[in-house]
Amino acid sequence: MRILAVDDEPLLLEVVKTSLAQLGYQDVTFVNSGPEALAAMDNAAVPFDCFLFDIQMPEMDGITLIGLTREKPAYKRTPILMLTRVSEREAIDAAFAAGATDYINKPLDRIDLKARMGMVARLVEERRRAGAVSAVAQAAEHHEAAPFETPLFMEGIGGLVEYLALENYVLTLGRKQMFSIAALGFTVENAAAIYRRAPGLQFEYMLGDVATVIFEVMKANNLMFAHAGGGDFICLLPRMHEIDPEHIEDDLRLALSDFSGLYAADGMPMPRVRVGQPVRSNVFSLTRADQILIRALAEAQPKDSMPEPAWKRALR
Amino acid sequence: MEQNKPENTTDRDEILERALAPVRARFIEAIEGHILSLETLRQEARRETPEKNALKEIGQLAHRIAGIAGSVGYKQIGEMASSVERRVIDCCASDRTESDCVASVDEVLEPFLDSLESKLDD
Repeated sequence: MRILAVDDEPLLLEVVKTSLAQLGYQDVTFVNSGPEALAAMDNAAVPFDCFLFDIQMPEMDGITLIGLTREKPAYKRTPILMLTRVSEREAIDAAFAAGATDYINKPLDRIDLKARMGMVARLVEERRRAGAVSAVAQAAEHHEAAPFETPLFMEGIGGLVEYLALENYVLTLGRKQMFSIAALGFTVENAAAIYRRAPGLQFEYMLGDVATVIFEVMKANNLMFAHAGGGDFICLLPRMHEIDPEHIEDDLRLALSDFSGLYAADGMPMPRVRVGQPVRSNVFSLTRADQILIRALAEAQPKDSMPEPAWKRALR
Repeated sequence: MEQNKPENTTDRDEILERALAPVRARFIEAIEGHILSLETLRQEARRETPEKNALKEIGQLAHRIAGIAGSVGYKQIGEMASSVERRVIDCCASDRTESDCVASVDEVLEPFLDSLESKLDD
């Protein structure tokens, strides 16, 4: 795995280098500033697989660097881990919103570093395999469909981050911060039917349309949201905002109607989006922080559907 | 009392700690320069100036030390440096007078400098 580490403190880079070497990560490039990092990316014969960015740097801060990195086509989805201190809470929020994948706390802890890098290594390996499949598919001039349940990331949609990044973000929140947010689930009720009909690019375009209208309808709320797989989206909002799911559903329906001509031309059903009740963390809750996402996604699922026939249940 | 070796070292970390020994030594070598810089900046901050640049520089240096100290085994120094940085940020964001800010930062800077000096004696 090719890693680029950026920190203005040379001694910290020495610590990172030594610690990563102990974990078996030898192919690491070190630079001291954002501009040097961007130059290293442009000059790399083989793209980097992972980035480690300090947040607070004098010439260009880590958040600006994340944004500029994400503008490079080769690095739109490359995992970016921030090197942060707990006291940099606001910067952590901004970094996740800018496209960071995860964070590593300073002081560096060997076990924490091993866990985070292990996660990145698995992600890189999965994407390498998916990339190989996609390359073969492109050679065959057709788009390889991702499995229905795979969380997808669509570029260029405001507030949209990868599901993994959203989970990691929630896990960074302390109890007090958790209390200040609400999670809202969205589900495209007929997603499975659309996928069966057009499992490739058309399904992804449909999700892109839904993500676009979610952003348009919710953008006043300073949201961060992600596709969670299938037809499900999950959104984090400041808790104090008034949330009326029925009103949001109406707005989404209206916004999606702009696309109706395109769907009709393709002979595709229009996506029907359902919005769940907002889920807020209980200040006394002892469950893991990311449970709020799962609960909000469950809230968005239709509850009044007819019970399955016995023969169908027996098949399971 | 902190010793001139990392805190909370477990057997599993020993190989890493040995590998980090040269970095730790360089951190200790740099401490004398940090003390001199912080003392100079503190003197500048005490002179009456309309801007808070000297205080900001103290905050930036404290930030650098806070970022590395804990990672080379000096958690307490890192925490004290963080306190100095936080105090500078709070002061710069407030509408307090320059002399009030200097006095406020001094409250956390003085023990921080003492702690750094104690490392030179190790």
